[in-house]
Amino acid sequence: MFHPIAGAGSIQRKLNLILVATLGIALFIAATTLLLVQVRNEWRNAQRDLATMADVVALASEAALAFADPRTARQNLQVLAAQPTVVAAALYDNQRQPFAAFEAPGEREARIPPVSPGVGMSFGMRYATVVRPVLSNGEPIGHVYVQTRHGLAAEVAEYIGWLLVATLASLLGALLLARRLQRTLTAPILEVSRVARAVLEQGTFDVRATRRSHDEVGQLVDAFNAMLEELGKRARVLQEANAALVASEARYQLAARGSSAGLWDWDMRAGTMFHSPRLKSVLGYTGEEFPDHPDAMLRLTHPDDAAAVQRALDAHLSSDTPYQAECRLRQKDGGWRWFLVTGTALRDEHGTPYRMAGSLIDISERKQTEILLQQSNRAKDAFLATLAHELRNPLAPLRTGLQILKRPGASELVVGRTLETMDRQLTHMVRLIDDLLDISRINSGKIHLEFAPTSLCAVVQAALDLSRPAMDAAGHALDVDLPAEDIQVSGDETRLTQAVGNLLNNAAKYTPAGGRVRLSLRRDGGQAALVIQDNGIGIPPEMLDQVFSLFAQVENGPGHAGGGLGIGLFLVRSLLEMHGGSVQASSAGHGQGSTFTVRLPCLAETTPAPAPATPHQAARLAGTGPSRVLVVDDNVDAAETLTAFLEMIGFETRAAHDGASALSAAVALAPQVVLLDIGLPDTSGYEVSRAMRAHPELSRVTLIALTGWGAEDDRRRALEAGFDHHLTKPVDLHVLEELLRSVLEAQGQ
Amino acid sequence: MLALVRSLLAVYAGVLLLHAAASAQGLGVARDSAVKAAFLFKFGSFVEWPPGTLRPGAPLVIGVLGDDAVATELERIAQGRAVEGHPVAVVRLRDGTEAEALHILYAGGVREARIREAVNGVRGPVLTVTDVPVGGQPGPVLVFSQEEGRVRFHASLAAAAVRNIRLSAKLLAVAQQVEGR
Repeated sequence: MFHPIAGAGSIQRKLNLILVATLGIALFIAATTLLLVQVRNEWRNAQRDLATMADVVALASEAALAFADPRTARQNLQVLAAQPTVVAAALYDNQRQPFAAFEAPGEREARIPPVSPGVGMSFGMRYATVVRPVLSNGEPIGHVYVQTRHGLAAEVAEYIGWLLVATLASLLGALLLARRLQRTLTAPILEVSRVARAVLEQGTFDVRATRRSHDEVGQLVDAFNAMLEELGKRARVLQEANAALVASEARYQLAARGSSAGLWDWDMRAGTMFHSPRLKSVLGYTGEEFPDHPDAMLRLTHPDDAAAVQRALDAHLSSDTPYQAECRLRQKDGGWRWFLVTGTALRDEHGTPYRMAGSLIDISERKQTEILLQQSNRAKDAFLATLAHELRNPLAPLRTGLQILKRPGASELVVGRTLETMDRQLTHMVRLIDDLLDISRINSGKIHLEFAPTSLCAVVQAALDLSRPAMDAAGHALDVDLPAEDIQVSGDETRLTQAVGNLLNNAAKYTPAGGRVRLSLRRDGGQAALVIQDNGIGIPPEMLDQVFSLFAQVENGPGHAGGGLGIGLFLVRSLLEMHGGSVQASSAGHGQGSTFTVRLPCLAETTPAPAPATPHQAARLAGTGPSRVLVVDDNVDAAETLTAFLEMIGFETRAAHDGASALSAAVALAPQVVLLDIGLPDTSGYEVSRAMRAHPELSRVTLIALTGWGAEDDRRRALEAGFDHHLTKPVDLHVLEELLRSVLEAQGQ
Repeated sequence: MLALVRSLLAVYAGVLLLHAAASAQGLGVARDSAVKAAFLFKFGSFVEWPPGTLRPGAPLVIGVLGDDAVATELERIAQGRAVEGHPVAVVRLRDGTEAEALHILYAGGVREARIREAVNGVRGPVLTVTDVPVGGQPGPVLVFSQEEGRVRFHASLAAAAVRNIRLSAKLLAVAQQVEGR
């Protein structure tokens, strides 16, 4: 972490360094040049001076040498004593032998060569020597030698010293001046630097540098601010994009985790395929068991599906149709599961796919549901076909019977048998429709049971009575084995009878003519066990679980011996389960007969069997003429048959076929009882009922609903609309007669 | 080639001069003659004659009277040499009367009267040199002398003035004695 001040010091130091370096180099070069020029000049001057001095001596000594006068020569040399720099001097004759010599007094460094050195000059650090010829008449007659002490080195040293002082002073002055001037330059840069650091440290792009000048530095500040602006903008965009990306990624991860989809990514060029861990775990494999190879998934594909998958893939790669295929894949445990494989290929500029990615979704449950739906749909279709067939079956004998009855001259025996057959067929049909309605009620939870202590023996007896026509028609032998002591259960006697009757009817139906049906009832601990056994066609083992399912029968192919809707056993099981009981089927196989075992929780043994109800004494109302009954039904035939029956048993009747005429007929007749159909062409039976109740003359009449709608709801609605009783069509005439008599009795009282 | 010869000669003259200085006594007159001849030759370099008396390229004429040894030596020295650009001509004189256009006259020998007559008899700007101070008017300009066994000379500024010649300061500096200063 840098401190701003440290940064500032650095740039100032650099500027100073630049200043010192450049100025120093310039000063050094200038000083060195000056020094060199000076030294050269000094050198030349010294040389010239020395040569001149020697030449003067030579000139002065010409005669002395020419005329061999050492004394004069010495005198000449002695003149040099006036020169403080001269250390020594000498004259040599033409034989290079010393002729005269001079040494400055007290000079230790004086050196006089014993033989004249050659003409020339030599400079040492402190001394310079020169040898010049002495000429006379243009001819050399000897040499003069002079040794001087020169101040060149000292001068150079002194000069260098002054140069150093001048250079240092210049640098110091320049630095002081630069220090003042630099601030104008460095301050904005330091400002920019401070702002940049703030941006870096705080990560915000909101700070700006202040512009202080209009020069290039000012432009730099402007550019820097503009750059910050742009950076801030981009950072914001980047941040938003990043956030969006993160959110998208998180969403993707969540979606990928949340869904059962596994992901795959196929690099076609490299020949590798990435399978997400999720994909592997969906199939139950670990990473090593599922190699990242393009064929890995194909190897697990069910042989029946592989071709379709390959076709879809080929079609996608060649013509870019969406790649989507459903196939079964083998899991690690060997089981097959359904998967939806989808994907898209990436293509290069030539349209050649080079990469493909997609997902793998477990659709086993959907597939199963789909299969179930298909099966259920098929079952429903079959059921409807069978239902139509079953409903039409009884109609043929009924029509035939009617035609026989209409023919005059039919013997009493024939009429009796015909009526018996018609009654049987009608009963069968009514029961069929009742069963259907019951199933509808069970499925919608609208069935109503009236629980009461019930004798199982009575139930069995009633059921036997119900099924006797079918048993007798098929010629079956029936063995009944009832316990000596009756078994009591809590239940709805009618429904229990219906359940047992259904089982007996079933046995009769699925046993070839002349078969044997056995029924046994016994107590088994806290339960009653009822077993109904036949020696009929039996049930294949794989069907044992399904026989109680709705439509189970039709699924296995209609058209066998008994035919049927396959709703009977469903009804049996549903009713028994509503009583807390159960039913089980067992069979040794096809043709081996079937055994159905019913178990019901029973009540304590001590409860005595209730005394059989005293038979109702049908009492014809005595008194003031025949009672009056108004029949209202839009079905003219139904109304006519009903009025015919009522007049046969002594009522005065009138029929009406819609709501309006019903009301006027009621006022005209003033009946004790009105049998009112609910579905009328102009209005509903409920409306008619309310209208009658509102009518002063009709308010006390007894209203009985006659309807095909037999549900609890319908019953309740009828009572709410003012009806006193509710009967479901087709009405059992005996029941109607009983009701009418009890109503009239009540009115009579 | 000429320069080499010259320097060799100069060396020879120097050798002679040294010998004369080292052992003047031993070598005697012959040695003195050589030194004197060398001096006579060199004097030309330290004397200025009036303009017109020694034209450029004209020979410097040295007359020798009464001393054949010196004359011979001088002729030898001057052979092929020049003084200040002037070739040197040596003239042996029998009498002082037969004076020609001389620049230097050396009067030697033992007869002083003859020497005096020759020196004083010659007219014009002539550097007159003798071995002895013969006197008379104007008298010789230079007179050879002996000092510590070595040849020296005396100079007379008065005689030179009469002769209208100038002796250089250098020459005067090495003169043993200068009259009329």
